[in-house]
Amino acid sequence: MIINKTDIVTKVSELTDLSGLCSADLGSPALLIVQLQETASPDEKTRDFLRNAPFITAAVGDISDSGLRSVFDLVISDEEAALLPEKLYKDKSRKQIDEINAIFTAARKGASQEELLAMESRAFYRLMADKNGGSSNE
Amino acid sequence: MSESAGMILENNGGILVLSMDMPGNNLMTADFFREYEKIMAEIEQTAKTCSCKGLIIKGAGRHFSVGADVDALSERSSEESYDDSTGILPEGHIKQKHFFTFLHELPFPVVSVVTGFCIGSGSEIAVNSHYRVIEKNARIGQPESTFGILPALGGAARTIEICGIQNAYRLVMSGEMVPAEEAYDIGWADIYTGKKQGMAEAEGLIEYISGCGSFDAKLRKKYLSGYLDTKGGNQQ
Repeated sequence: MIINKTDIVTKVSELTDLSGLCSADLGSPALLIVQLQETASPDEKTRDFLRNAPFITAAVGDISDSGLRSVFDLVISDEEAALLPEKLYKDKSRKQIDEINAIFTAARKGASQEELLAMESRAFYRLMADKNGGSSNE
Repeated sequence: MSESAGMILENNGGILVLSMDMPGNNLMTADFFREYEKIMAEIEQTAKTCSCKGLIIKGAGRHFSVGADVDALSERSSEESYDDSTGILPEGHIKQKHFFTFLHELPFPVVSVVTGFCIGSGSEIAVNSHYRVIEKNARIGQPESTFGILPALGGAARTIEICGIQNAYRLVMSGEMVPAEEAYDIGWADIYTGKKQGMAEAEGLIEYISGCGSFDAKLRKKYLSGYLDTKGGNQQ
């Protein structure tokens, strides 16, 4: 397994067993990109790891196994893997990325619409406080 | 039925039709929000007392809405009090958000007819509706993230519900504009149609649902499927 980490993105390639992700040093990315090779559907431990991950997960490749696709937030092509981080995160602060990610990872974990609606509101005021000069709105 | 300085609400044979006709292609200024909240309060009251078949929301002109004035939004929020340690949101925000999200709870189908630009908070009116009919050449987007913030009137939560995490994440995080065809392909729009055909589709869908008995939002997709079957599939 090869792991390349930046502040925002961790890329994992040459992964022969998906369960290896659970114990790997992935850092604290906003986005985990996993280059999948031929692999079986993940076991329960790996599913739990990906379901509870505090970052967005993306699988790269032509994945026909729906069970495998479903454990990742995004399924992207090889070409997209190179371009997507720039497209998504250009000119955004880590705080802003984390605030938005928190809503999507909560949705993945099964948060209700009411919970997500409240999360986006609170995140809005935290980010707007920064936009208005870094002070709290309080 | 009533007219409120740029918000025109009519009852066409039991279907409420709200035409937004505010300045700047429905630029969501403080004036826009004031008139929007006023007319939505009227719709909420009407829903309690009359048996409407549905509600259609559209732009009176070429565009649905170009979204919020970010500077005005920034100014307004700086005047509001939010203490993150309590998580209690400003009353003004709660009220404003209610008049977006309550559309989802109305006892009849709400259909947004999306034409031209449907951006930011404008898009949030659409995603809080039960259905979106999109016309060719329309463009939708949630560009808030490109201004350092995020959509907070249902634009994140509802988009996840409508399009799934993968498509919603791209829309919300990238802030990119999406053409009508793609909005339909990713599930943001329920019906894609030609120019000036959106109203007819929205009326047809509401009439179809009305013929099914009382409206149950949980059966949203079933009604849509039934309606499209009567037409022999989506008309593109």
